[in-house]
Amino acid sequence: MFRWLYAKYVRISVLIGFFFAGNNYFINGIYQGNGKGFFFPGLNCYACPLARFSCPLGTLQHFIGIKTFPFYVLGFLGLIGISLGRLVCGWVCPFGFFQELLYKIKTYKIQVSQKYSYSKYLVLFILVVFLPVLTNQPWFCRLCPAGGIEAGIPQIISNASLRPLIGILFYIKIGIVLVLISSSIFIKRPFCRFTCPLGAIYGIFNKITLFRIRVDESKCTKCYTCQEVCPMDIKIFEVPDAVDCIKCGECIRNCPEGVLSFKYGFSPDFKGSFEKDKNSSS
Amino acid sequence: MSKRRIAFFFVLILSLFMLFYGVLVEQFMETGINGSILCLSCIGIL
Repeated sequence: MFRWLYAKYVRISVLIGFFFAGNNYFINGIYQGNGKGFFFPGLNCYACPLARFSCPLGTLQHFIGIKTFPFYVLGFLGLIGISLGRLVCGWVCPFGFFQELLYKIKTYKIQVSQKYSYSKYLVLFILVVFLPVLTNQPWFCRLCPAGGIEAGIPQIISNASLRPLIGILFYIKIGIVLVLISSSIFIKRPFCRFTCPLGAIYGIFNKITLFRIRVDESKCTKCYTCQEVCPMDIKIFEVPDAVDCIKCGECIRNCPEGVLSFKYGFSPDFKGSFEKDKNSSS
Repeated sequence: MSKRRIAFFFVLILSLFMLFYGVLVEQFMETGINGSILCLSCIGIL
């Protein structure tokens, strides 16, 4: 199913398309059109002068900060989560794609255990929920490296009147950006795997989402090619509905045995279920 | 019905309710207004 999605340049074209759809490069100053009432599904700074849509995380913190239950943003995240899961991270988020490009630089690479990926839930709780409740401030936005690259640095470069207002947090943010850029060269998508609270939210839905990866375990030779090419360093043949799977399709495209495929819907798709399906239908 | 389907429909109904209720209580407008102001978090101003 969805064979056209496996083609080499389809995902890159979609990512570039979303990058230009989510950002407005043809006006000066902050965009204030009706698009700001809607969300960009990925991480895209909503205060960015170029952003056409709001960031779900920024809005979530805003409503938590003003002590209002965030019905609208949670409804949006739930609908995207159950229909696509973390596909958004692999096909929509320009910041994740930026890290993938950095990892393509040929140099020494470091493999970090997947067990540390739970740290993003700590970031979600502390910076997106706990501190905004306590201080009424969007703490994740203050430290967000995506906001630093997409909004903070461009605004400081383009708007001289803002430069005297720079606070200590800006330098901390620049430090986070530099650490992230340098670590992305050596580690696969470090921000998405260990820090991103939006990925943490979408990841919860990976277990029940309609868009999944199917593994034909009977044909799998466990050659680990899928893990080598996976931007999130997942062994997809062990956990097809892994919380961190961004459904980029790199494993499907590169699998030498062709045992992986995308599927959409409710039919069973867990390990070995492909054969069970065939047996039950015959 | 499998547990996955039950979870899916539960989240679907809950999400649709929250989305439409959010629009009803003007959170859509609030999101638009809040997103249209320069919050300056990006340059570290408290």
